[in-house]
Amino acid sequence: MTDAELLALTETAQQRNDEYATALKSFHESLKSGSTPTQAERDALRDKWDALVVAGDALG
Amino acid sequence: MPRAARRRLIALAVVGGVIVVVAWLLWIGYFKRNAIADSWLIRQAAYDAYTPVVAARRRHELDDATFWAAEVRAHQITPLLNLLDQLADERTAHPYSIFAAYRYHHVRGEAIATLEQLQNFRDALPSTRATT
Repeated sequence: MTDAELLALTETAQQRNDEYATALKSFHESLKSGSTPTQAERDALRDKWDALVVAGDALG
Repeated sequence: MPRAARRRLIALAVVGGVIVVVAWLLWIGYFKRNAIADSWLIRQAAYDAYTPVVAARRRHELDDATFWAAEVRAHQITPLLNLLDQLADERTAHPYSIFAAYRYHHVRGEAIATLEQLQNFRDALPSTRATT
């Protein structure tokens, strides 16, 4: 793997990480306010977790 | 049937019934929690354990064997988290169902066991050891 490829994968992993963290925060806020997160929010959180694990995989 | 034997049988049935009802209430009480919030906490813990592993890999601090072993745990916990999420819905929709409670608790146990393995990788990271 070239340095450029590694850098691109690293940036992708960081981006997926940030996206998941944002979705997680929104989820937390919903729960804290006493409401149940919507199905769309929950699906989004699930998808973002999956994407984070895939991005982690690619780093190997 | 002799009267004494009948009384004993009735007493036994009443005591048995009371035990069943109390056990059911304890079961419901034990599992009566916000399952959606609970499954969220497990998901967050997985994130808190996995992210440092990915970051360490980016910094080339992890050898292949350790990284892939941690990745396997991340892949194992993913379907468990998703299933737990679905079961949390079922648990919320049927708060007095012993079957929904059992299914949720069973998968929760598996998810937590896998989570602990993932956390072990996080705790063994050089950067984590340095800060603890």
